[in-house]
Amino acid sequence: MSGLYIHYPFCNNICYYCHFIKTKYNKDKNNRFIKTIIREIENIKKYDRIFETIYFGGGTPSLLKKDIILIMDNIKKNLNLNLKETSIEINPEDIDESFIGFLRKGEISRVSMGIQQMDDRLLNLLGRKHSSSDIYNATELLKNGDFILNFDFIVGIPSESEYEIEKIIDFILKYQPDSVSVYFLEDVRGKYWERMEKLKDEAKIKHFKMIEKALESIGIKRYEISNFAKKGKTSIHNLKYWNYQEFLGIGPSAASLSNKRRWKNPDSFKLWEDSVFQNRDDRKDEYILTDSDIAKEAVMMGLRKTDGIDISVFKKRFSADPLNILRKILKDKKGFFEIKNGYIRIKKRYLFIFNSLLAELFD
Amino acid sequence: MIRDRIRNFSIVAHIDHGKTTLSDRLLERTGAVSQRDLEEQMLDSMDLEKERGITIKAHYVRLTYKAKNGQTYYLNLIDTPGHVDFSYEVSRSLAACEGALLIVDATQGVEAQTLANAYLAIENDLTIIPVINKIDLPSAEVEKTEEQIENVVGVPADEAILVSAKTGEGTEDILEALVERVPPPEGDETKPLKALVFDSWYNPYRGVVLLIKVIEGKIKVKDKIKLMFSGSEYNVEELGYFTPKEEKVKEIMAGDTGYLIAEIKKISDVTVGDTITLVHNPADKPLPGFKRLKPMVFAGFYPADKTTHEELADALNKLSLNDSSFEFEPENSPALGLGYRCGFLGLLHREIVQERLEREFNLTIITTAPSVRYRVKLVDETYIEIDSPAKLPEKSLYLAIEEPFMKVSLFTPQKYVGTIMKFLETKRAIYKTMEYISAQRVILIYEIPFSEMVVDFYDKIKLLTSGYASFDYEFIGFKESPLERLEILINNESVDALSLIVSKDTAYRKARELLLKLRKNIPKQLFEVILQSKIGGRIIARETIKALRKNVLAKCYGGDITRKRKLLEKQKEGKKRMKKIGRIEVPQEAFLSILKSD
Repeated sequence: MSGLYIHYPFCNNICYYCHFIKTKYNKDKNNRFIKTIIREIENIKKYDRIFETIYFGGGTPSLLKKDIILIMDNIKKNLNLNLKETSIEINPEDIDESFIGFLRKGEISRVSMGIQQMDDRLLNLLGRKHSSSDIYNATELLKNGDFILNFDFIVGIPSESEYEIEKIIDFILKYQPDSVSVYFLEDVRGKYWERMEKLKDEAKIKHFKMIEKALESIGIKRYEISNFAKKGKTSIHNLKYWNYQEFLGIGPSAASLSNKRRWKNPDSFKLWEDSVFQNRDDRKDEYILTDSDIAKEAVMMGLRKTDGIDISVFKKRFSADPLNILRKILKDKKGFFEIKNGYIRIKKRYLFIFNSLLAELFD
Repeated sequence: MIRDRIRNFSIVAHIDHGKTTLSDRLLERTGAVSQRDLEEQMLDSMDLEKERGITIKAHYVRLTYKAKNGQTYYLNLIDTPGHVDFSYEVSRSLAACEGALLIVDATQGVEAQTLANAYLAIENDLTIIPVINKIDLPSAEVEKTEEQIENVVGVPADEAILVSAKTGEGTEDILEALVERVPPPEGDETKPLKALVFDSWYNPYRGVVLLIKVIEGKIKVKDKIKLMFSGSEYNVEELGYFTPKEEKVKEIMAGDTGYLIAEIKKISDVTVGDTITLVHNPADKPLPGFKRLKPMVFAGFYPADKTTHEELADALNKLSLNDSSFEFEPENSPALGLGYRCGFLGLLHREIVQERLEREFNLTIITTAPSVRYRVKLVDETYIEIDSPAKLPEKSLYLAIEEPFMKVSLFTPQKYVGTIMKFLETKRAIYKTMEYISAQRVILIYEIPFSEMVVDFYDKIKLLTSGYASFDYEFIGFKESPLERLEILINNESVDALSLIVSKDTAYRKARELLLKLRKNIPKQLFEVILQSKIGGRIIARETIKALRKNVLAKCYGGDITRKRKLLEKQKEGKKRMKKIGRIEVPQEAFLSILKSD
């Protein structure tokens, strides 16, 4: 069973922190995208897969408006499906009654709203164009839509204080979504907040933990470094990444993992367009993975989960022992890990230093 | 006689005053190299030299020049290194010459090395031809430069030739001046052979190649020769000139220079400055001026990756084949593992060796802070020499420590004198004299413990004077100083590679500063790091580096495994230049930071 990722590369407004592949939206480019993505859906028939999840990411896929229905129709027409989850990322300012209608018609089951912050000053600092009242309006519309609702937040912004975090918590407690993602602002070069005093790591973590605590109080538990969900509401699509299961990506820059290979589509819209229409696989960064690569990458992805890795399942799937793969790291960093009930995991409080802990994984 | 038509000359200059470009013009003008063939700066053959703009190894080329008087002359250009680390080599090269072109940049005026090299030339009784270069630049100040040459160097200003090495203007005047003003070499072909070795290098195919100047007698192919200082004997296999192509000859006569190949295997078998004579008809005494060079600066070189220890040994061996002044011996540091204690002529020499190891041999090196050689007077009144603070014996075992002192001549615009003096005060420097070379320019003479100069002295002086000051130094001897060892402990373990010998007067302040520097230079770790400094068995300062709290890529679209993996690999790459001490990773900068002044 595969996951299908669709990358929609346009935004009405470019946020300062974002490093995904995107350009400014215009109608003409959107139409070219639709034409091309429909063609790419046909092209990937050749993989002969059954898809269990679909994920519209971006960019700002809510700009697709009613074209969501068109794309979904083409997916249904061309691909074998056994759908358990269909997700889309949306921006609060795009949500209105008619948009909710498109989502319903497209049979979207999970909606992930990019809220980022609840404070207008910080939203402005991030370069977001929506306001906190847009967020309230959108949420009011969505909450009756029978979707699995996910909220995305970004914390750790220069000048952020507990006051703004409290605003986020109030909002979460009020609407009680099914799941939440909390990311840290990454240092993006050349942005004007580089000149502002960075928030100390201690503060960033404190803010994160404040949100975590609030989420726990309403039964939303952390299940991955940045992801929280109510029981049974974890993202099936995202779990495919962390469980190192197969997924195919379409659209510019979309990544795929299939058949012991990992690759990306061209970043450039034009190159992507050409390669789709000529049915060429212009793969970027293609790696042919050895069994050892696969096992190590599976460890890297699996340890992002709070449950960690089920050792016996891992052994069966990859014919390798995760404890052996981590042997060198465990030698002097054992205290950061927990091996219990057949699982190996990074202790929850050390997930924040994931990169330092696993630096030697690919030695 | 052909000897009357030989001129042996050298070009001396401060760095970047245009020596190499001028050499190229001379080569071009005399047809040694055609314009088309002329590789930029062809006398500098090593890449490294090119980048640093200096000539590390001396080179020589024989130019053929038809002068205005109708005669053909042989001009042996003997190139010299421009840096103070190599001043002995410079002096030997100059000893092979009768004349020198003293190049001064018209936009810069006389600098420290202009003078140091000019004095070396004067000591060797050379005829000096002042050349004022870069006259094509708008900022050229020809008259001022002439005045400085006359006042400081003592050569009449009207003898100066004005040139632009860049455009080639004045090249002809230089060639004529060499013919007219530089005397032909002296020497008696009938006397027993005395030839000066003024340079040598190792060629993997030919063995050691020597550059020689025959002072008396003559040398022929198949002669059995003897090196008078080293005592070793060889058969002459080949003699010749570089024009710059190799041009083999049967013999070289008194007064002439050329190259010599005998079956010499190792560069260490020959020392620059040695005298060659014939085994069967030896000279009674060698030429004066021979010195065996001793390294002045020492540092530990350790492979960042333990598994490359063998490769490092191999690389050091190979480097020493071509550099007789570079020494190394195995060293075992409890903190850093197996490595080598390396000795260098000076600071630049150390940097060059490290860069070559990294560039040519692709090794990643962790170096300890450079140290000088100390003389330690033991309780039984005997002396030992140590080249590393770790080797200092227990306090009860010695009476005193002596350290090397340098006489430093600083050339600076007058307005920086105050700044420099203030800086030197922090370096335990002793003021000697101050002289004005012009209304705006001053020479300051100081005596400074060499240990105070080995890290960032050069950078600091340049920084404080916006690059306008230059300096030169010479060793004047060992002096007793109140010194003691400062130890650094990381998580309660003493780290030998971080220990220092410091002046007692400043020890406490230093101990504190040092910990602050280390705290800044050691990144947060998975564990808390405790830094302590210790003098004479007492802990006197302590700093803590808190454990790392956050290093994770959170916002990344899940499917981009490539990026996640690359980040981990980058993380690992960052660790390459770190050395593990216990479970703490210490970056290279930390080892060097301990000596740097703020």
